[in-house]
Amino acid sequence: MVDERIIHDAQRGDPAAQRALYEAHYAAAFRLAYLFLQNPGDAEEVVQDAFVYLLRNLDRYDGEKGTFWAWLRVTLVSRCRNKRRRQQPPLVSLEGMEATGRFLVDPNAANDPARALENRGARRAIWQALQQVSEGAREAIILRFYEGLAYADIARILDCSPEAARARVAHGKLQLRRLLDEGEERRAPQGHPVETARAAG
Amino acid sequence: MDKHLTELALAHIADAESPPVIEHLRSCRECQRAVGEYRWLQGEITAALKTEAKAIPLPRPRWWDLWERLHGGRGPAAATRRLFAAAGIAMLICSLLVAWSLPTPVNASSALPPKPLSIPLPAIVTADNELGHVTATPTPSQSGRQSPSTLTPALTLYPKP
Repeated sequence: MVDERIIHDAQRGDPAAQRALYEAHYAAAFRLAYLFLQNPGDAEEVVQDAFVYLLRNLDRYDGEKGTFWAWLRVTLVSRCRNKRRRQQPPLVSLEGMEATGRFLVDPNAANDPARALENRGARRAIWQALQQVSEGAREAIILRFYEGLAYADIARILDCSPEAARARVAHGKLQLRRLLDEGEERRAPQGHPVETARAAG
Repeated sequence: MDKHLTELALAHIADAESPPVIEHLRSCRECQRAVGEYRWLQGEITAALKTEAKAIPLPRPRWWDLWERLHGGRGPAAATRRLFAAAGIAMLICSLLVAWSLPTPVNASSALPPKPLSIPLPAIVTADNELGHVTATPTPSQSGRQSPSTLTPALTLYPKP
């Protein structure tokens, strides 16, 4: 992601290299922090805190152990988790989930704007349902399906065993599916057209 | 047919890095469908997370704030703030000095003498040269009134013999 030379210069205290390092990772770090915290202000604060820590301890960075982004991600997730522990988790109503989307999404909707809109609503519903999932499961799901990490890496970040990380993801998916099914049942007792079409197919 | 797999097992299988070979799954369409739905859900979770992450407006990176925190307020922004503070203090001192060196501003109304309630009339003065020098004493008024004449000399010196 970032040239090793930049990291090397940053380690030697070159402000331009440190700035380049910060700016190269800022967007990705902010987005990941936002997914964990669901609050842009908190995400921004956590990203700044994480960079202060990393740039102060840049001499500890070892490129052979992993990328700078991997190091930043561990720091970031740790800080996000601390931040969330200090806060009350945001509440998302089931009514809100029902109002914004449905569970079933037509995968062949790329060329159909109406279906694409429906898919967008469904993704919003998934995002909102994800807020109802238990915290450990949600963290593991974000790392697994947004960051695309292996269970061993998730385990290292969340400080648990790979089996525990796998179990968290599976439990999270189970909770998510139930939440989405409940929302779908409440919303459309007559049956969703896509669901009906699928059942018929 | 043997028992269906549990939901948790299906969720596990859908995302297993090396899917286990389970005999039941080979033959059970229902469990295969459930695994397929979990796989589809995983794709949707990824899409939902990416959509949400991209939808949020990205704030501008605040490098100089970070720099200040890193260097304990020695960044350019802190230097500018210090410069402005110093300039403000210097201007305040200068204005105090200028204010102090200027004469007290005269207030037009306070400069005028207080308006007397009654105009004192000059008293008639009597000169006495008995002791070789002239002394003047106000002449006691007659019948409690002082002379209204303003032409009355205040002091009359008599020529020495």
